[in-house]
Amino acid sequence: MDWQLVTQSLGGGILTGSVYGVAAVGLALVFGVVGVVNFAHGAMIMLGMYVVWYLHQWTSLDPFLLSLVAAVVGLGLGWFIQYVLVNKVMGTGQEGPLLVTVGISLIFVAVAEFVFSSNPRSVKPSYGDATFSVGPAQFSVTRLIAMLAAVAFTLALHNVLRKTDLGRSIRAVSQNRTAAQLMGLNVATVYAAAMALGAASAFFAGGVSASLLPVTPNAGLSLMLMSFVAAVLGGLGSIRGAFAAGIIVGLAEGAGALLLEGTLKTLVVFALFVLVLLLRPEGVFKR
Amino acid sequence: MTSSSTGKPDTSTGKPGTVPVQARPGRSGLNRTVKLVAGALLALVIVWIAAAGSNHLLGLATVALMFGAISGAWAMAGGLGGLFSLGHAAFFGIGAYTTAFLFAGHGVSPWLGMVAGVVLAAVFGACTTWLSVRFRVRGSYFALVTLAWAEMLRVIVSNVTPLGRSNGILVPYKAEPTFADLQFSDPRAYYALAVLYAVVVTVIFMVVKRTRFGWRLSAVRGDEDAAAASGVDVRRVLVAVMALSAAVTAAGGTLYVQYMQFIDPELAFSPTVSIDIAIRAVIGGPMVALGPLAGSGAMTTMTEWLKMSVSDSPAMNVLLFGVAVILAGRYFRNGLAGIGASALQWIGRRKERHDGS
Repeated sequence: MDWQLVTQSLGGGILTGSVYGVAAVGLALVFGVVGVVNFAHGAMIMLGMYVVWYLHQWTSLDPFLLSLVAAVVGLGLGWFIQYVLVNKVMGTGQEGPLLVTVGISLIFVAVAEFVFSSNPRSVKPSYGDATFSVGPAQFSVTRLIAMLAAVAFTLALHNVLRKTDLGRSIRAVSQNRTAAQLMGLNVATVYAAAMALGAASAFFAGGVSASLLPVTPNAGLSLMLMSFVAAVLGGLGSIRGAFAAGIIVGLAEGAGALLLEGTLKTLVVFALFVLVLLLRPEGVFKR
Repeated sequence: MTSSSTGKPDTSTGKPGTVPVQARPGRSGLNRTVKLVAGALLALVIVWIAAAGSNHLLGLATVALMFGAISGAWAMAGGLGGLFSLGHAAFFGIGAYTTAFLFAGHGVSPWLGMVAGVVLAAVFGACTTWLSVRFRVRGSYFALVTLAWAEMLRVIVSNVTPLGRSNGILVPYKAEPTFADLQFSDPRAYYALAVLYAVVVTVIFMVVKRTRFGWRLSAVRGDEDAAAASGVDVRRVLVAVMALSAAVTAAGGTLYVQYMQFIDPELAFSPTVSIDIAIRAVIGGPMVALGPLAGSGAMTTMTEWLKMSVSDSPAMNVLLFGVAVILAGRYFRNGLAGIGASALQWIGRRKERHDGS
C-alpha cells in the first residue's frame, strides 16, 4: 500500500467531507423540525454556487466571504419557500412535500440554465494555486479554507440553535410540536425559520463548493446525494451528527477512490447509503 | 367480477341490484360516459397524427406515447401501490441497455433482448423492493433508496467497457431491416408500435386495478397494518407490483432504444429520467388508467408550444414540469384526471339542481 496515496485520499476525504457535512446539517435541520425531506436541497446548493460565482465576477472579493452573502440569500429564499409553498401541503402525508420540493428543484435548475446557461463556470480565489503538505501528501489551501469555513458555519448554526430564543423555539417544535403549539409558539413561523436556516446552510455549502467544483445547473445533484447520505447516517435531526457523518462520507469516498478507479468511488458511498437507510430504521424511518 | 361489499350478508333490503351508490364510486353513468369520451378523443388524436401528421409531429407523438406508457407502468407502483419511486430510470435503462448490448454486440433480435431486459428489470425491481419493504422503508425514504439504486447502476454502467462506458452504445441501423430487427424505414411503424405499447400498458393497468390484486394493493396503500391484519401478504403484494411495473418499464426501454438507436448512461439512468417518468404520471393522475398518457401528452404539447412561442431553451420543459408538479402537489393531487372528475361533479350537481327545480 502506497502511504502517499492513502494520506492523499483520506486527507482529501476529510476536506471534502466537511463540505458534505455543512450541506447535511441543513437537510437534517429541516427534517428534524419540519419532518420533510427537502428534495430541493441540491438545487439550493447549486444556487449558492452561482451567487458566489456571480458576486465574485462582479466584486472579486474572497469567495468564502461571499459565501456568507449566499447564506443570507438562502435565508430569505428558504423562509419564502416554506411559508408560501411547503407549509400549505403539510399534514397531507409525505407525497405533498415531496412533489412540491421536487418541483421547486426543477424550477431552480431551469432558472439557472436560463440565466447562466449550462456552460461550466469556475471561481478561483487569489490563493488558488497555494498548497500545503501533510507528511507525504499535498493539498490545496483553498480546500483547507473551505473546511474551516464549513466548521465555522456549523458551529455558528449550532450556537444559534442552542443559545437564542429562535433556536429554543425550533428545538421545542422538533421535540414536541403539539406541546410547543400549546405553549403559544406559532408552528408555521418556526417551520419557516427552520427551512430558512436549512436553506442558508445549503447556500453556504454551495458557495464554499464554488471554488472547488465546476459551477453548472446540475452541480447540486451529486452534492445533495452526498448530504442525504450524511444526514441519514447522522440520525436525521442531529446537527453534530450530520456534520460528523459528512466527514465519514468524505472518508468513504476517499477510501473508494483508493479501491476503485475513476467514478466508481461513489459506488462505496451509495452502498453505504442503502445500507444505512435499510439497517437504521429507528430515528430514521419512524417519526 | 364481484364488488367487495356483496360479500357481507346485507339482508336489510331484499331487492337485488340495489347497491348503495356510495359503495361503487366511479361507476355512475355520467362518469363512464366521460371516460369513454376521453378515450375516444385520445384515440382520435392518435389516428389523426398517424394520418395527417408531419414527421416532426410523428416523432414527438411517438416519444410522448412511449414515455406516457412508461409513466403508466410507474403508476402501477407509484399510484396503485403507493410506492413513490424516483428510480424508474433503473428499469428503463436495464431494458434499453440489455437490448442494445445484445443487438449491437451479438446480433440478438431486440425482441429477445426485450424479454431478457424485462426479466432482468423485474428481478432487480423485486429484489430492491423486497429489501425496502423488509426494512419498512416508505414514503420519502423509499424515493431516496430508489434514487440511490438507479445512481449505482449509472455509475457501474459508466465504467463497464463492454457497455461502452460513458460513451454508450450506438445501435446499428440495418440497410434493409426486417421485423425481427425491430427497426423500420417508415416512422409510422415506430408510432404504431408506441400506440400498441401504450394500449397494452393501459390494459394491464386496468386489469391490475380491478382484480383482487388491485384491491389488495388498495388495502395496503390505505393502511398497511390493517391490510396485514386482514390477511393480505403486504410484502408479497408490494414486491409483485414493483416487479410488474419494472418489467413493463423495461419493455418501454427496449422500444425507446430501437427508436433512438442510441443509449448512454445519462439518457438511461440519470435522475432526470426517473423524475420525468414519475412526473408525467403525477400530472396526469396516477390512479387512473389514462392519466399518465394524458399527462404525457399535455406536457409534450405544452413544452412544444412554449418552445415555439416563448423560448427554444431546453430548460423550458424543466421549468414547466416544475410548475406543474408544484400545482399538482398543492392543488390537484389526482392530476388532470382529478380536475376532470371535480369538473364533472360540479356539472352533475348543477344538473341535479336544474332537474329538481
